[in-house]
Amino acid sequence: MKIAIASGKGGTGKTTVATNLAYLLSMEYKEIVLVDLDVEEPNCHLFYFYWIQHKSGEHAHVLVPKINQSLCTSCGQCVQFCNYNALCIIGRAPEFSAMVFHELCHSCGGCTLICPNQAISEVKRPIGNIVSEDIVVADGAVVSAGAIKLFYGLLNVGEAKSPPLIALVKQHADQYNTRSLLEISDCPPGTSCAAMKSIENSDIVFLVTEPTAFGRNDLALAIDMVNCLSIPMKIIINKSDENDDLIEELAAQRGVEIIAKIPHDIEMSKIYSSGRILADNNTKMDSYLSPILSFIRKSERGDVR
Amino acid sequence: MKMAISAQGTELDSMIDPRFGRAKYFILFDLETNTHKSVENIQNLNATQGAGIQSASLIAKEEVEAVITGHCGPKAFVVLNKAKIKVFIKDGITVKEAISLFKKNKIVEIKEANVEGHW
Amino acid sequence: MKEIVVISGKGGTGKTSFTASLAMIGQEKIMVDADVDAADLHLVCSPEKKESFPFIGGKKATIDSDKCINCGQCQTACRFEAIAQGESTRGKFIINKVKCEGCGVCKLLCPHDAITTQDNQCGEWYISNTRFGTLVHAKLGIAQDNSGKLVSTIRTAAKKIAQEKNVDYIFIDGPPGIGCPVISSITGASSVVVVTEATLSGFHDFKRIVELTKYFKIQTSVCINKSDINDELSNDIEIYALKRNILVLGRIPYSKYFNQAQNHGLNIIEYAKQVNHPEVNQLAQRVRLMINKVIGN
Repeated sequence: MKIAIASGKGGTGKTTVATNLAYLLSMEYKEIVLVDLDVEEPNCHLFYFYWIQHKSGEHAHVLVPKINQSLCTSCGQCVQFCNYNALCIIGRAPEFSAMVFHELCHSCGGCTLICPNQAISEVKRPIGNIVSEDIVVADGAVVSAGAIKLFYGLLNVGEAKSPPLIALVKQHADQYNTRSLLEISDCPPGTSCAAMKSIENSDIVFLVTEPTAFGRNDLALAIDMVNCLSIPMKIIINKSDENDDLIEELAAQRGVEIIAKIPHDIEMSKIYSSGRILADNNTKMDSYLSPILSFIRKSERGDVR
Repeated sequence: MKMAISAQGTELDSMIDPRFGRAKYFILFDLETNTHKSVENIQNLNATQGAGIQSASLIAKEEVEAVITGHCGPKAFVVLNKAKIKVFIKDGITVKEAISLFKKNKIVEIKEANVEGHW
Repeated sequence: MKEIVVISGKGGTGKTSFTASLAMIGQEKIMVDADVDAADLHLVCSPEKKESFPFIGGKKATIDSDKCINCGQCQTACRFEAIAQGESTRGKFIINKVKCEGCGVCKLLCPHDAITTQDNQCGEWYISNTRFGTLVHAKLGIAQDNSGKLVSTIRTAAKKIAQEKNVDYIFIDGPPGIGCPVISSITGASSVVVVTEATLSGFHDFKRIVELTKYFKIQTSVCINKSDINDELSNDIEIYALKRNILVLGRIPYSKYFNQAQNHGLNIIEYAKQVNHPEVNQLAQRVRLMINKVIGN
């Protein structure tokens, strides 16, 4: 089962939920996969710092056109075709060939198809890194231990487009996860193409929100986003307090179940702030997350779909 | 020598359009014959991205040697530079006034983009 | 005229609350909400929409199923996995509008001219009146691309109004992250305020955003929010900032009153006036000092 943790608003607790769920589930299922898709600001790895056994990384690339100047006749068909204005021609061949602006390219490959002289080939352009970490977590008494395979992307600073890297990180996770291990994805905030790309192909989305005016507003947008892809979803209220009715009202209106509440607790914020897993630090995080855990158990057994 | 001026209208009395990539028009002026014509830039005005690049390529095809505009971003500058077109910066006056200042060498040429790129 | 952008890297650190407080300066200003896919600034400005404009960004393809002969060439060539056989079209190929990036490769390859591409309206933007002055804001459609273009559209509109009205300041509430809409929000701005929080994640993301503002050579200052959650980290953030010539505006302790102000549709300075509670007054005073630093008083 693929579980996506998402939210409209940033800072509601996606990473807290994802890292703690991963911790608890890895002990129960022995081995799980965690995918951090917030490639602009990935944070999951910070929480497993002490438990990392092995780490490896590789460059992530997208394909961009390269013009072979000796073949380019500056006919302009590629320029005409490109809907992203990533190519231009300023004069006649052989003095001038087409110019390429990589940062505008969407890697569609259209220019290579349309060039009548086979003057355009595709080359790799680095956009960031994909890191994978082998993590073995253990509870305090080392009664149980679990393995987490973590994948995350790190977008190069100054690089504008995150969706291609998100797609590549997902691809890596898919290639690894051939044994249908439980897979949890921590998604970027928002409701634009990056968030959408992240939740695609998930079996369930948990939307993490907080009982504030901003939390409610952005949750409404996030629900619309998940509906767009027709994926089942449930709501988790983080920093739950006396204002929960803000969220409960919206959830009822939209017919989305609130599966869990994590109370607001300054002590938990402090543990989180230093990059530690709450469920490993004498908090009640495991009991707050238990409705989610039992839902996952049931789904894994095939009781619900 | 021919030059291009980004303009808000089609006449010499039109004001300079401070934007280069998304200029409404370009006025092409021939310094030898003192004649001009205008080119509409509507396609680039509405482009999602890359307006500067395409505007630069549009005027490069007209074989001008200099351009006067208000702001020139990094990508447009790269194209203009490659096409060996010099970039001069002036804003807030009419095209006619700009040409006369240019003739007196009173407009500053820039050697790199004077604004950040839009995304 | 100065254009000041509030960003954070990590989400939920208090960008919008901080921007809303900036609105309290005495000088004329225009507010911009550049977090176009999860806009919240309007919730504490109660805007009255004066004008709205459609936002066209990119194209989307459509397949005419009467002309489609099911050859599948479009599906094979599409790099965005946006083409599949539809149930409703009895096996004829259809475009997934969410995944389509409007490149036009399918249209190029279709042997039967069954595919067309059209302009895609992917959002709306508005000019509104608020008690602080003009607010320029937007709504990006769900799952849409081109948020960067929408951000530059509203920034351009705000600048134009600022010039017409001879306004001193434009305050921009930026999006989280370091990608497209963030780059769009900060390029060419006068200065950037980073609101971070005293958490390991906040610090990690702060370092990435500082790299970004350095990359674009923009003057940067930092506000450390929820500082008392981890005083040690707050110190680390401050030292990190000072070493890099980043102006430290100060620290704000964690307080539930920020959320309460927000739930009342107010910024913290307004809320302090309303409730007149010592803790809120203190917070408001701290924030006031910071916004004065931001505008250089």
